[in-house]
Amino acid sequence: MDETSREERAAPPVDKSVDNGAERKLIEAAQDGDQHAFGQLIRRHQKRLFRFVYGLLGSFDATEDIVQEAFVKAYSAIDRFDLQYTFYPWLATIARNMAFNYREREQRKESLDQLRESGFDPQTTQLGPFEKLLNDEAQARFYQAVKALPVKYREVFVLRHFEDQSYTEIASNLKIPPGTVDSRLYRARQLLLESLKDLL
Amino acid sequence: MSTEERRVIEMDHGYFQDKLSAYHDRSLTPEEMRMVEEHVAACAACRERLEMLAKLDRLIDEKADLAESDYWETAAQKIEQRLGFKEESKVIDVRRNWTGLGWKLAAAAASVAALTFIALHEGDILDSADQRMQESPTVSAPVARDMPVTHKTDTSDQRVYEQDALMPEDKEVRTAPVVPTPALVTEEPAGAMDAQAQPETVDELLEQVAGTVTNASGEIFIRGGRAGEVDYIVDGVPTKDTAEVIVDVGKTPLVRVPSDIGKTISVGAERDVIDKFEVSNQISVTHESLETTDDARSLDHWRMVRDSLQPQISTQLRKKQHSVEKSTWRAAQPAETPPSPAPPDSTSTQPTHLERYLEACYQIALQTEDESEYDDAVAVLTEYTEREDSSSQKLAHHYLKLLEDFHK
Repeated sequence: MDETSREERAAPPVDKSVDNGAERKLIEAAQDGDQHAFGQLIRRHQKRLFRFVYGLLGSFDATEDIVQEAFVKAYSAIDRFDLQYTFYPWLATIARNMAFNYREREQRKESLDQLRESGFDPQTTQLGPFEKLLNDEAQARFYQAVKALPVKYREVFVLRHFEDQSYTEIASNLKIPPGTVDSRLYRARQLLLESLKDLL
Repeated sequence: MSTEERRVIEMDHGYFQDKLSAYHDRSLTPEEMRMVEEHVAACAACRERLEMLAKLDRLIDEKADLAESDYWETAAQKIEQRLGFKEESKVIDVRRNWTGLGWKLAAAAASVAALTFIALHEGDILDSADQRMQESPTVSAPVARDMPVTHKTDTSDQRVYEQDALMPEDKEVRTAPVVPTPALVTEEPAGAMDAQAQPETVDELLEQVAGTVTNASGEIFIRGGRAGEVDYIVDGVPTKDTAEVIVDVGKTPLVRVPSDIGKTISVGAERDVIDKFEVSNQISVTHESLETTDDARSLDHWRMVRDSLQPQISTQLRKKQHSVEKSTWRAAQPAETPPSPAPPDSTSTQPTHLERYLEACYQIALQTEDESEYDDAVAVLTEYTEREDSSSQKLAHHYLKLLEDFHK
């Protein structure tokens, strides 16, 4: 499925974490061609978006690329953004679809060995350059544990905890039954509890 | 559900354990919620498990947020560059509790990006500037006549450097003459630089090279930010009173301003004066600054890069075709152009002219609204995907892929 159709299907939920009045003004200004306004939107949301994409992919370089591409794509489509929604979920939907496409593409094109040669190793828990974005060792432990989760558990965990999505939203976004969301999240939490028990 | 079935389930501890995660999220049906609640009330192990889930939630809340870092501003500016924004949002370090001269105007991330870029491209910048300077010897140089400067001429490659006498010796900052880069001149309206009077004062020089405005009180204002559009961030790096201040004025050059004489600078024409710092009468535009402006990535800029590199690329291709040894284009470079002085911390490989040429074609294809120009740029990239040179082949492939993704 192409990204546009995915975006259209996934109606962006309301994001309560932002000042919608100020954000709306920025979006309107950006739609009027105000580059500074879009710059403000980038600065407001890039960190959260980065965390989200990194949570999905566990690759710093790929996350950098996708975050950048997501903003570029959002900018190119900002005229079509419906102001009744909030910006971040829409942006996150774009980034999420790019991240999923990236993963599918990588898995299709290259063997795991080739991916490892190019520095992408989904099995490793080394954080590499991502560590520069962390506050302390405990946070590094946390992200290592998240990164170590098998992908199917990790994506459910990230959507739930980083993006505050409901089980229904997660099921819809991942195209899995709600019961599967339940069991995967349960398993993700179990694994995290085991690996992070000394931090709890 | 019959009473018997319910009794069986209540006894199945495993069943409830599996439900605890969803119970914790209040994502069960009302009946399931009630059943789990009843079970938990009677089961210490499940209560403990729920407590652990609550602790995990708290840990996630504490640890998921990424750190504040210069990285974010750098990343934002990269995106803005990618989008071809004419002028980046200003980023200024204005910690109010700083005293005296202990502050810096930071667009720190932009500076880092610019310095990184220059470290990679210095050779090209110098080569390009030299070539154009030789081609345009009549460009007037707005050098302040009252500025004590030391010129050092390297006759071997015809490059002129200005050594700022006030700069700390341990800082290996090589600065260019206070001359707008010829590359910049090409972006000015015809004759614009020629029409400019040579600056007599620091203020005039700042006005010319940095686009500042000096008001009647002698305060310097930096153009480029309207009120309310200037972002203030706290930069974690303190600046000593005597340190240089790098003022990023968006698309205008960086101006390296050693502290010497007192001036007040305001950022954003309608903003309050935010602090004071000293500027010197010793002002020079650095190579970094030239490239910062050069890297503004406007469509015109990339056209200029493409056009300036095209002859060299063609020459190189001819050389390559006739080369007996089949040496690489990169290896042939020193024979054609004098070696560039090493950037202060340059250990990385500089991009070749060919790489910059391909980048220019990509940027043009990305930004142009002219269909034929787009087609031409894509044709060049496509052509290079078919060449034997594996590096250019890969790069051209990469750019075509980016274009493809962008237009999806």
